[in-house]
Amino acid sequence: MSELPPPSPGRVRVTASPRPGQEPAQSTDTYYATALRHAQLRLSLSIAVAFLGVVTVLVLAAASWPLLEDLCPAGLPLSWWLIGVALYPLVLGAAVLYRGAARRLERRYARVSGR
Amino acid sequence: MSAVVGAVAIGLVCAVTVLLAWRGGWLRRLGSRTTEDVYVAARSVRPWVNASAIGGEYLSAASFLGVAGLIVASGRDGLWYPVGYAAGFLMLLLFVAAPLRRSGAYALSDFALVRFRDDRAARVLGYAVLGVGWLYMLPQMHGAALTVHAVTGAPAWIGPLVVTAVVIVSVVPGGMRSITLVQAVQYWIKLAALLVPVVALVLAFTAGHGGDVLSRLAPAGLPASTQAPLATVSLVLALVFGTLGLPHVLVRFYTNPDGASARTTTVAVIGLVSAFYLLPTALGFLALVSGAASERPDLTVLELPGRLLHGPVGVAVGAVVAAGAFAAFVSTSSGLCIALAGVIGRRFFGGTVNGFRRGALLAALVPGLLALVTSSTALAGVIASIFALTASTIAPVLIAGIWWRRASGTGAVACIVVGAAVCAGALGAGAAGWGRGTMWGGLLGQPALLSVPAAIAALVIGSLLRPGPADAETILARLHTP
Repeated sequence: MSELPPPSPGRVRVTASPRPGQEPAQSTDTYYATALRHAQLRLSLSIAVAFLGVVTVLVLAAASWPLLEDLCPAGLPLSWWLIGVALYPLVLGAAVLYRGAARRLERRYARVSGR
Repeated sequence: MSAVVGAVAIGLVCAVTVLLAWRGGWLRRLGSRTTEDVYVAARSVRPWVNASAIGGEYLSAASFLGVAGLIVASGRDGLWYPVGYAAGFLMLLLFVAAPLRRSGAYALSDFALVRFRDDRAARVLGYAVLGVGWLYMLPQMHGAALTVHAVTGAPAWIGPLVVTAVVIVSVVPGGMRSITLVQAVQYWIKLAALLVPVVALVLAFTAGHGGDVLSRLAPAGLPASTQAPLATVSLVLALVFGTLGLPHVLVRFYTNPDGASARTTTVAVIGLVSAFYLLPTALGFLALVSGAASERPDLTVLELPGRLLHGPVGVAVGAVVAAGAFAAFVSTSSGLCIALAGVIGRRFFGGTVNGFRRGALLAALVPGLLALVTSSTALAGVIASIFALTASTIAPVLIAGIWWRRASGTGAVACIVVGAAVCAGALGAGAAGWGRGTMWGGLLGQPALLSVPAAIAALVIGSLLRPGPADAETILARLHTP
């Protein structure tokens, strides 16, 4: 926008308060960003807590439930299968799940914040 | 005979490393190296290449030799180590991957500057990275000494010497740009080097015994679990949160083009690393089944092919394993060297290309010299202690910096000091024999359950006493918005 010429002598230019839209717009931006951060944190925490919960249960079960030692599919105790093999797909599944969910949250943020 | 073949295999891996590094960084881009190139490969590494490279430098001596050794030595307790190493990347994905890339940092100490605007915190974080990195390189050197002596019969000090030389020659000229391709190739070398013996041994077993390998062993023949459940939980906590404080892993995230690709990279890493860890687990189990485990558990992977396969096949497979083991030492050491060179170069030598090179030289020489005057113990066990240290120093600072608005530089400094002190104190007390045989004694040996809460408490108190920058909300918005 080009600058207006200075007002003639003896006159005063009357304007509205400077750019009214700007202050609230900035804080809405921060508001949405904070909401996104909190949503991402909730997502991450719930997956982390769920995973650590599974691990803790598995540790306790392997230590105190003889069935996991006695049952031996293909010659290896069940506890070995659960810890040494089955946890890997669980980790990978949780990772894929999280990536999709985090991307959806970011898309929703982009939509509502108009970026 | 097998000594010569082993030495040739090791030499071949070192030669391939150096040639790839020079092709990637030196010859092709002669004269056009920028700061972005040497520190973060111009932030242009594709997710799959980057994932292979992260896998390449993450799978260290502890993974390649130590995991099978621990399974042989302690049975089910040993199984938790590879699981923890792999699950660490899940925590990295959940809490760090995308925001850390968006921070635009070159090195961990830069992150402290960007987030806390606190030079003291950046300095302390830099020292923590240096300490962790050098401690982590030491077992790689010990692994190299062990391997060289076991495979070729040569004096053990040749191992650290060769690793240090290869790291210097491949990292110093081209930095991150030159080493990315090397690391990516080395993941696949390591995978193949364990896949070949697993397949060969399973074939030999099924041919020799004409049936189910697994059914030969009664569960009673497996080593009994001796670790208290609380100590196991503490170990897993250390491993999963320790990974996201490892400097050589974090430094790779700065090379992603953006936050979304940092996430894709991490998911791919989890797949690659999980696939890898099934192999040392299988080898450890095969060693137990066949009763051919070595007296020294860390040597199991190296010696198993020679003990169970006869003639030239045994020699060839043994050489493949030795080559893979050296790929592990070299790639992890180079990755750490880059991470440390980034910190040293930016903190002490002004962040220039030449500063990076001087930093790299320093980063590689210190552990190489230290390895000559120290001796090794169980590889995966030592590495687990270092994971506990990072889980209680670097990891909480990163997570708080990324997610908590009030986190401050003072809190970060307090966290690192208290976390390191509690962790080292507990490990020392455990080594001195306090509470041996009790639950508390086990916890002193796996101190994460003590040191991580202490570090977090220090961080929270420090941050509440001296709040961080006033515009923290804006900084966090930049880390979290796409």
